[in-house]
Amino acid sequence: MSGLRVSGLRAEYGAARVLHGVDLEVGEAEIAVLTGPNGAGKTTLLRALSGLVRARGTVTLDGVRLLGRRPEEIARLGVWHVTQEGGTFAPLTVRENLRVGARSGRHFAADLEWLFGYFPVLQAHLSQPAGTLSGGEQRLLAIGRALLARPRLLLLDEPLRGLAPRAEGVLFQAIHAINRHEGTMMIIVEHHVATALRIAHRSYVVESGKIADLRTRWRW
Amino acid sequence: MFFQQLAEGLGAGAGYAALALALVLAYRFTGIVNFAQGELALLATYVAWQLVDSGLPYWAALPVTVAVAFTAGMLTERVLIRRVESAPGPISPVVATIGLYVLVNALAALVWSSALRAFPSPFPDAPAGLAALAAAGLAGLVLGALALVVRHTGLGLVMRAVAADPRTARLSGIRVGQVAALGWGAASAVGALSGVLLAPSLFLEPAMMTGVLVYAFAAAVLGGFDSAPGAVAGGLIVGVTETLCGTYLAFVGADLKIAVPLVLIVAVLLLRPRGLFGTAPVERA
Repeated sequence: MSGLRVSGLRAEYGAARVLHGVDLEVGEAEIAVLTGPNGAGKTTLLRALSGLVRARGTVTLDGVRLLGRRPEEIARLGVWHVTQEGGTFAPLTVRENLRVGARSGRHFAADLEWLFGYFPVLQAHLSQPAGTLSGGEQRLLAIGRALLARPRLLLLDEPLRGLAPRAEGVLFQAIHAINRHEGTMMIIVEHHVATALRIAHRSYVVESGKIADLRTRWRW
Repeated sequence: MFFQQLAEGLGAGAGYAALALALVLAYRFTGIVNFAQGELALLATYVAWQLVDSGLPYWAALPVTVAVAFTAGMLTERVLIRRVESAPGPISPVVATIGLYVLVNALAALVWSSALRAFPSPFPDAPAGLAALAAAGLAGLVLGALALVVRHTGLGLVMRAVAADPRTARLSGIRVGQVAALGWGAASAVGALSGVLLAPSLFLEPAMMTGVLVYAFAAAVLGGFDSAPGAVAGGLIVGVTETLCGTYLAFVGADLKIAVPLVLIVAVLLLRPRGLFGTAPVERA
């Protein structure tokens, strides 16, 4: 069974339960967008999928169970999570950051050329420490590093956060192109709902730790 | 006379630098200050002495000792540190390493007794000053090789990524636990070098590394606790300062030499808390 299947996902921070039995699916080469108010549980849902938060329920990617595994194992199974905090190694150069994501050193030069097709701006900063990039460039770098691992599923937590309007457009065009050309499944948490829905195949509204509504592309 | 003292200061400083670097490595990979670093080095030095005493040539015993120390460091991380690092608050790991300090020290006394033991010099035929400089050169070679691995290999890149941001490293598929264990292994191996370099002049006994640990802390603080090159430079500065103060300042002499690093620690913390080479966070101005 290909794609992501989530069933009855529950998670808590100490005594506070945040997710109350979430069910969702992301099909082959689909983009799912999570919307909803602050504190609804969207970020926790991504963290549960990437193993940063312990959770119960059932989560499978292409039929392989994910829950109970460590974040590094889940990443190696093809699930890459770009957190809203940045997700770059600040003291390392852009090239070194990208090398961490690359599958092998042998194809690194070709992989870089491939990546610059989506994010050309990174090419000019290869020798610069990642921490000195602008917020938008750091976001591109974090996503770029994830792409070099050729993930099956990309989890993007508020990728447009803090970006200038022009940079928002560039990033979303790139995300859309990656999805179309590479077939990468994505779950995107985004408050810019109108922008996100333009590229989504399905949209889940999260409220109080549950899925309150599901909309597929033909309904909006 | 001055150059002789300078050479001896550099020789001692190389030993302090190695232990300071070990402290910095363990700290950077797990965020834990390992108060037992000196005692792990002591244990390795006893292993080296035992091997040489059993008839193994010095230059054959040295790599075996470093390998044993590396393994001991990895085991310490896997068996002890990993279990306490997730405990709430910063106290548990500190107490654990102090406990390890006491345990290893007692173990050394139990196995090898408290007797002073002569430890062979790596350069037995060289005059004292030259031998000290050669020892500093040996330390420089090993630390330089370590720096090359960290700066220019895939493993080194992964280690630097883990040191920079363990959570992002996990999310990038890096087995952070294994890398942390490697870091502690490397720290312990470098620490072993410190013990082996200093033992010929200090004589081997269970309290040998106690004072050295104070010097190493001074060196690490002086260099900036997160800076490997800073730890090395700090060690050399502390070694030379301590030796010259002990020789040329009459009121310091041999008895007050241990106060020199303590004064350095306090001065650095007051005047430049980040240390001479400590790195400011890399961020956009």
